[in-house]
Amino acid sequence: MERDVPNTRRRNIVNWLLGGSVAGLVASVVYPLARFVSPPEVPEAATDQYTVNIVRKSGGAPSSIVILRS
Amino acid sequence: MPMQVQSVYAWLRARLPLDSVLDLAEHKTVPVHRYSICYYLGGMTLFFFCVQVVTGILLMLYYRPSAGEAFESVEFLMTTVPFGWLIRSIHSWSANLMIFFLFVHLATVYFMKAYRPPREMTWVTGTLLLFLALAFGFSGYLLPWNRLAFFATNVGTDIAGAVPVIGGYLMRFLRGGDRVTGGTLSRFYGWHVAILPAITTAVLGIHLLLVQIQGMSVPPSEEETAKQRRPMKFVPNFLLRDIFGWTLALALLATLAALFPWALGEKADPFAPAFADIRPEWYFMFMFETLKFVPGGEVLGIDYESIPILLFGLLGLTILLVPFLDRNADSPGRTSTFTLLGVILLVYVTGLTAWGYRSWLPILITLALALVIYLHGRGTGRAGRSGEK
Repeated sequence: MERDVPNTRRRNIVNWLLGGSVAGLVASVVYPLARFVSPPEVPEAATDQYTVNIVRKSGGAPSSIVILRS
Repeated sequence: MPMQVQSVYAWLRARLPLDSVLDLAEHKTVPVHRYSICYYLGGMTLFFFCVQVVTGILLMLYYRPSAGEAFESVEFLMTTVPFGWLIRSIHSWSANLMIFFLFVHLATVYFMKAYRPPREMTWVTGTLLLFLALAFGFSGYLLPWNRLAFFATNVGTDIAGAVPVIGGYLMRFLRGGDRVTGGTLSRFYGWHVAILPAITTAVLGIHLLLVQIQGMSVPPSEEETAKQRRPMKFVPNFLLRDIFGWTLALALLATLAALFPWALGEKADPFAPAFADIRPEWYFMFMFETLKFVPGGEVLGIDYESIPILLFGLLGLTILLVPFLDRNADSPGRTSTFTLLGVILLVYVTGLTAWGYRSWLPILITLALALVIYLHGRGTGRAGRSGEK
């Protein structure tokens, strides 16, 4: 029975190492996925509206027009 | 086993045939011989396919399949969405690795003559899966709507148009019109995310079922060795090795995606001049290079270009029907005509791919794979002999 003690201890260490590795692997997969599926804070650029700046050759103040897609 | 797990297991057991599944897992074995390493290739391909499915579904959350928005949505994904670049890069790298392992799996199955009776249908479904994977690659290439993909798709669909008699219809069918437009993109998206996955799921299901029913095939030259040695238990021995391989594959994917993220390029412009360096994905390179050698002209009303295209079609059909054509597959110790043809095809495909990229890498990869299989075979053989003593 005495010979089983160090074996059990070694087995526990291996179990912790394996368990920790698996937990690390799972976390490294789940974390990026969880971040990916959450909508980003910066919204996607609207593609149905364009702003065009017009610079006058005569040197007057620049003006802009907005084109909207109906 | 904790009480809660036991009660869940008992609940499931009352409703599902769990006992027969466990019985199958307990009794399933894998033969051990010189080429046993090849048995891991199917599982590796399946792993990359699963990665494809998961990352593909994730990409659909942000991708917009229209000519006006596709490129922008991928750009947004790559630059703004957290880990978007990683998911896209893993999807792209995994697609390439899946097709690579499919080729290697097909080649090893071919040279081990695992298509012998009664496994003809396993071979046929496996070959169909390769063709489906190539179709996945072709349709997925256009989806980012960048310049290279746009012009490569123009060339690829042009080649389909060179097929005699049905070429015109085939090209219009692929493009969804006369030219590559936003309509082509929508069409390719439909194929890529709905039609091809549906067909692949069905064919893959049949393929896996056949593998389970018939078990692993032993090459004729190794039958004696396999009989002398104790087979490996599938659960847990083979399965744990499989899982170890998948973990390495995941690490490889993460490394490739992090160090070499998949580039997006410039947005496609149909009015821009043709791209100077148009090239297809690497698995179409040998066909692309072959067509470059063909001069212009026609014979008997058939374009010269159509002849290699027809030959490639014939080659695909021959590969599909190999189990019904190779009559001497069962004879051990003889180099059959089909083995020789396989070697010639392997040299041709590898050589022209290397020529297309002006690189030795394809040849080195092929030689390295052959060396790994050879060295593993030597190691297994030696271990077997010492075990018998």
